[in-house]
Amino acid sequence: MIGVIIAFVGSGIRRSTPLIFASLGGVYSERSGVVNIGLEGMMLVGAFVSVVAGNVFGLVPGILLGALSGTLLALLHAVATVTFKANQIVSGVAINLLGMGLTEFIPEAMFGKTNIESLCSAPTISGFTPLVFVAMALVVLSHLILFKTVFGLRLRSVGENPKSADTLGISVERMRYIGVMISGALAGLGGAYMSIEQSACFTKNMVAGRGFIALAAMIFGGWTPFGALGACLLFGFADSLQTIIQTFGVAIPPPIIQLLPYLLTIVILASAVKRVRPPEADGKPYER
Amino acid sequence: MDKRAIISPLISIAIAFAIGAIFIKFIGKSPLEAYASIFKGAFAGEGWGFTLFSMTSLIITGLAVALGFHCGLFNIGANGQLMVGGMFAAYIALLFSGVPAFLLLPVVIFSAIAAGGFWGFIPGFLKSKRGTNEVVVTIMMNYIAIGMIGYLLTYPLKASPGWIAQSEIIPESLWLPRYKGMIGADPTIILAIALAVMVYFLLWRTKTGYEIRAVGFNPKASNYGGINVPRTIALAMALSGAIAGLAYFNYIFAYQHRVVSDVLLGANVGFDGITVALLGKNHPLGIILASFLLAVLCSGCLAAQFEIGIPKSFYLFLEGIIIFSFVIFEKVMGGRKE
Repeated sequence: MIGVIIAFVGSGIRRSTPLIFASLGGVYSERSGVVNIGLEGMMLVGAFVSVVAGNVFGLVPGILLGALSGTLLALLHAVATVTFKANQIVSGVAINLLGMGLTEFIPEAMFGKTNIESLCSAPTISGFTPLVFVAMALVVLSHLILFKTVFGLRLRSVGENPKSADTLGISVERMRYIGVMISGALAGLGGAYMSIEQSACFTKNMVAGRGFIALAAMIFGGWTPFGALGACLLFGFADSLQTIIQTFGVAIPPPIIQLLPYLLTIVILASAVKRVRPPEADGKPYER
Repeated sequence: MDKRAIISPLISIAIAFAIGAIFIKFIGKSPLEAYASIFKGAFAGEGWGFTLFSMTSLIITGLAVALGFHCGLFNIGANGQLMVGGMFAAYIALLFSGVPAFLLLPVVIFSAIAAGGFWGFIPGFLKSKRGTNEVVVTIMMNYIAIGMIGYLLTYPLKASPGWIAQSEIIPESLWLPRYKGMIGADPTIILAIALAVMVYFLLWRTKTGYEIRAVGFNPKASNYGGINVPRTIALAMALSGAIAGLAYFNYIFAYQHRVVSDVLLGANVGFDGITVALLGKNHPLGIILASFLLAVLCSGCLAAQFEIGIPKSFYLFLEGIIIFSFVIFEKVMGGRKE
C-alpha cells in the first residue's frame, strides 16, 4: 500500500515537471502582455534539439541547447507580435506548425526515422532526475523575480498598462521581447526534460498537448508561479492517478482522465471569472 | 478586390519556398526537384483528387474561422468541432442504419452540423455570459473532444474484431458517390462551395450577418445601436462550429466509410482553417482561392514523400513560414501606405 502511494506521488511529480517548466514560461510571456499558445511547438523543438545535441555534446550542453532552441522559436514569436504587431494567436498557431513540422521533417530526412534515442543518462537523486529539482527551484525563483524585483515590476507593468510604463521610460518592446524569450527557454527546458530525462528518447509529436495543458495550468493558477505550480501538480497527479486506479481494479478509461484538466480549466474559468483575471493588456499589441 | 489581396498570399508562398529550399538543400536533396515533384504530385493523375479532397475540408474550416473573425471571435476550436461533428454524424448513421438513405442522409448531415454547432456554442455562451476568453475555451474543447472520441472509439463504439480503434463501417447506402471512383471528386466539394455562397449571403445580405459584423467591428457601439451583443456572440460561435462540423464529412462518408480514431483525432485542418481565413482575408471567395493554394501544397507534399522522399511534414513547416511571411509582409506594406 505504501509502495503504491510512493509510486503514485513519484510519478505525479515526474508528470508535472514538464508542465511546470512550460507554464512558468507562459506566466512570463503573458505577464509581459503577450499570449503564447506556441508553448507546444517550443516544447517539441526543445525536446528534439536537446536529444540530438545531447548525443553529440553530452547531457548538460544538450539540455541548454534545447532551452536555446525554444528561445529562438520564441524570438520569432516576439518579432512577429511585438515588432510587427501581428495577431498573437495567429503567430502562436504558426509557431506550433513550425515546431511540429521541423521536429518531424528533420529527423525523418536526416536519420530516416522519427524516433531518436538519447544516449545521455541523467543521474537520479532518490528517483528524480536533476531537472525535477530545477523546476521546483524555478517556481520560487520566478515568484521572487516577478514580485520582488524591479525587473519583475517592469515586466508586469508592460503587461498591465503599457502606456503608463512607456511614459515612465520603460521600453515596452524590450520587456516583451524578454518575457517571450524567457517563456521559450522554459518551454524548451520542459521539452528537454521529457525527451532526455523522462523517456530517454525523442518521438514524433511526443509533447502531445502538454503545451496546452501548461497554458491551462497557468490560467488555472491565476497567472502566478505558485498558482501554476499547484495547477501543474493537480494535472500531473490526475494523470498518474490512472495507473493507481487500475491497481485497485477501478477502471476509469485513460482518455477520460486525460480530458479532465481541460474540463476543470473551463469550469474554473467560467465560475471564477471575477477572481482569476489575465493581465490587463494581455494579448494586445502596444501602439504608441 | 484590391490587387494586394492576391499578391500577398503569393509572395508569402514564394518566401516560404525560398526558406524551404534551404532546408531541402540541407538534407541533401535538390530543391528544384522537390518543388517540381510537389507541383506535379498535386495535379498529375490521382493527385488532382487529393488536392480537391483537401481543398474541401480547407474551405469549410476556413469559412468557420472567418465567420468567427467577422464577429471579433477567434475560433481556434474548429478541430474539436469537426471531430465532434464527424463522430456524431457517423454514430447516427450507424444507429439508424436500416432507414432509407434519402431520409437518413439529411439527418446525418444535420447531425454533423448540430454537434459541431453545439461544440462551438459552449465557448460562445461562456464568452457572452461570463466573459470567458473564447481562445482558451476552444483550445480546451479540442482536447475534451479528443478524450471523448478517443474513449468512444476504444470502448463502446469500437468495431468488434481487430486492434485498431475505429468504428464499424457505415451502411453502404450512405456512401457518397465519387465521379469515376476518384477520391475528392465527391459531392462534398459542391457542398463546400455552396457553404461559401451561403456564408457570403449570411454576412453581407442579412440582418443577422450585419449584426455579426457590427459586433465584430465595435461591440460597444453595437450595444448602443440596439444589437443584442451577447446573443450575437453566442450565435456566431455556434454558426462557426456548425460549419466546422462538416469539415471531415468527406473523410468519413466518401473515403473511409467509418471513423478511424487516428485519422479523426489526428486532424489538423481546423488549424489550417486559420491560415486559410488569414490568407483569404476572411472573404468567402478569398477563402476558396487560399484553400486551393494550401490544398496544392498539402497534396503535393504527400506525393513528394512517395516520389523523392521529402517527408510530408514539410507541409506544416511551409505553412508556418507562410503565416509569418504573410503577417509581416502585410504589416510592412500597410505601414508604407499610411
